[in-house]
Amino acid sequence: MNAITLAEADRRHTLCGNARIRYQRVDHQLFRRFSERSRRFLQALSDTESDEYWLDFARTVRRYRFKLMAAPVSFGDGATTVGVKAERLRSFMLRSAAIYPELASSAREAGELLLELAACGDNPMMDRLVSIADAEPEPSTVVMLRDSRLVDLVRHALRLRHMGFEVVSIGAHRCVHEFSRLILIGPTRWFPEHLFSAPQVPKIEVVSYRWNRSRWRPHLTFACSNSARPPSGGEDTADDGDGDVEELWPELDWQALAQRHTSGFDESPGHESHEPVEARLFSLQGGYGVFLEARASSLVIDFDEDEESSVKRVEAREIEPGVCLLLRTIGGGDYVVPVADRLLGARAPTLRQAQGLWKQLLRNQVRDSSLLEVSIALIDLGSHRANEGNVRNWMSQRSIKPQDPRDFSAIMKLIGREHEFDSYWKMMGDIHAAHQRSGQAIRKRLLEQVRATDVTALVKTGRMEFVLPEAEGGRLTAFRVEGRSPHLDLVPASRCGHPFPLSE
Amino acid sequence: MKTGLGEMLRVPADGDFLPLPGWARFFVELGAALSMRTHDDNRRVIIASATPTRAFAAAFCAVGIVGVRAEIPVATDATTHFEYLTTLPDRTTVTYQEDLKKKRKGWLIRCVTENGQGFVVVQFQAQRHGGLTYKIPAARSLTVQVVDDELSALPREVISQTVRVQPGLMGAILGRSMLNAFLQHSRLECVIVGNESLLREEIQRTQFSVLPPSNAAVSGKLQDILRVRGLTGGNQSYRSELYSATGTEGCSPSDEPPPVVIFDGSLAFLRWIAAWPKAHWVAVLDRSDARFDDAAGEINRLYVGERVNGGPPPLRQQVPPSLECMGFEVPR
Repeated sequence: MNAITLAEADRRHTLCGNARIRYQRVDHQLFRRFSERSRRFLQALSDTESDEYWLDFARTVRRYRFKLMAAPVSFGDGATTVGVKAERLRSFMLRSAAIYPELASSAREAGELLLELAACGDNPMMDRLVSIADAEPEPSTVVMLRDSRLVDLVRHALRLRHMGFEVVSIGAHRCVHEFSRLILIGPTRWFPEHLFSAPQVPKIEVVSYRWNRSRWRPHLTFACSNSARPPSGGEDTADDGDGDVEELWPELDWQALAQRHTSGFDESPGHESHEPVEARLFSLQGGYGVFLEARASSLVIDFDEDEESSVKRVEAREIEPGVCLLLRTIGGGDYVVPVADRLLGARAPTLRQAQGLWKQLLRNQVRDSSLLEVSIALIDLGSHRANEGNVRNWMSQRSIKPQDPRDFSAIMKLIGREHEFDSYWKMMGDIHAAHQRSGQAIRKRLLEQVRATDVTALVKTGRMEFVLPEAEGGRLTAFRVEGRSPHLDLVPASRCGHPFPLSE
Repeated sequence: MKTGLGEMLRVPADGDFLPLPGWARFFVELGAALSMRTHDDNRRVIIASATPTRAFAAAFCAVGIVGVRAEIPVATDATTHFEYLTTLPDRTTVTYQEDLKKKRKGWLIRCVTENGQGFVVVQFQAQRHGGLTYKIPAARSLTVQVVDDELSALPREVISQTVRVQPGLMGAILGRSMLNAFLQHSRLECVIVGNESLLREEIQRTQFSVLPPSNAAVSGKLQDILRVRGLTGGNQSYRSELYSATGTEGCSPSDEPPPVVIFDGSLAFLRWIAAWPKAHWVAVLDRSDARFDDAAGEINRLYVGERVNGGPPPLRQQVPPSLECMGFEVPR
């Protein structure tokens, strides 16, 4: 978080009473009909609790509707973005009529309207942006989208029309004050409340479809405020009433996403890299996702922190939307290991071999019985923390050793290497120390880079590359975290730490 | 201080000295009003403010607190401090502030009472080299302060340190005698918890001026008023303390409970809520904070669940239109 001057602070206080919010209603008859029909179909579908048969179709209809409400892209381009396949859709609708006659008619209505829109090049939101630009040529305008995946597409579309608007997603709300006009695409409820209650620009245009209930209503924060009136974002120049539909931005279906992105890893179950570990799925700026092992820590840049602690290592459970997660995009997921190996020098292969060996022998035990049985056996052998989660963690190559020597002693007994406990404990301690030094070295170098770099681009785009010397981690990419799964999933270890396109 | 501090403080701009904006004066006055509140052992005040930006709000509030209390002599606490010194072991390392600019380092030998008057005995030089020793009257005991960097032995030559004291803005706010007392004596008036680097920028690096009624403008930083411990340099006196919102929770290093704590931001409030349960609280909540709703929810929970009625209204100022504020009392 950058310091702001007293003058800028004063400007923001002044804007609280004086910013102009203007609601720009957009209409399109065909898209309105599609929106109505698709809502009706989805409502009917949820009432019937129908099976998985409809999942893909429903997802396509929903995604198309929200993408088109969330960005100034043509109806045809929107269909391409969502991946609408006309022939497939038609044959699906035909097939459905025989299997689900009740739902099929409303599905067909929505589907046919979708196909009609997909063949149409209209772009009413863009038309409105052009008219805004023509009516009030404002050199410094930022367009904010709810969905970061659409930023590049919209930026490209605006450039084709020679419109010099900056395009950002909601994660970039910190940079809005650099502009004099903010254009929001979609109803106000899709955007952070403070854009209206604490405006950073004098002019806000809310461009949304006429039927969406869109107006921001000021309200009191505290139970008994001394203020004369609720905070107001300023003048509201809406020329007509609010829309009649309140559509909330759809939450990600984390369970389905995790399932989709963890399938296809059924190779040799005894192999370390495919051994399941508990991990949490995060959605990242630009439509990426990443699994992070639950008990491992990752480097993040947190602009809410003091400068000294803005680059820090935190466990996956502590990573919140808004922070920037540093991932190794070239050369594998974990940047700490290669640097630690360099610090270990000639001993690295021997130590890593020892680490791999006891973990493999423990995995063999689990493979031959079960996690539960191994946990019980370890407790019988003196372990204090052997539950299924911990055993799974100990088997993972990403963890080094149990914290408590009694747990490690029990493992060594179970795998028949009791006599080597001392040497193994010492070796794992050396690896652990090297990992700590490695993490500190990378953090220090990154902190230097963050200080030396203009991170405005990272705040604005939610993504930035940092190139460290190869010996200190190599190329790292900072991605802004947009969301996090509420639950943990079992994920092959090899999938953790690698960003991937997050297909809905 | 005849004129209000909020009105005396000015912002230098293009050769002119502009008055503080209304919202900034509000925070100065809020701090001043809070610090003048009659002490009640049974209840304390919580003031929450939702702001469009956190910038400068906490710093101005602290200026109001420290600025008003600067006129209350610390000497009234000398008896307590003398009693504290009597409990310390012999050879505790201390400094003695001889005058505004000179400080000496030595050992506290003992505290004695002669003819009904207490004295602090401090030795500055090894016995074989002269053994310079002072007997400091109990009334001046506040000039003797314990320091962390201990002396393992007394030196051959007396360790003297010239203290560079720049009164800055405070030079135009307080009269000469009060200024000396202010610069020499420490007393913790408030604690600010927040983003340390942002607060340092506002307190140490932003230029302000004071326009005394009949003299030329004096320029300086808010630090001249706040005298944040650790930012003053050396062992200079302090009036406030600064904690990082992301630092580890703990009690004040001075073990001196602050009368007022200012939480600068939602994160500071949520992380440090349990640290000073006896102090008055001011929570500055920036509406754009990621945890704004959580912090406001916690404030509302305190209001609904713990507030006590009946006292004077905790918030009497006219709230500027850009702010939303709530003040209430809870049991201490």
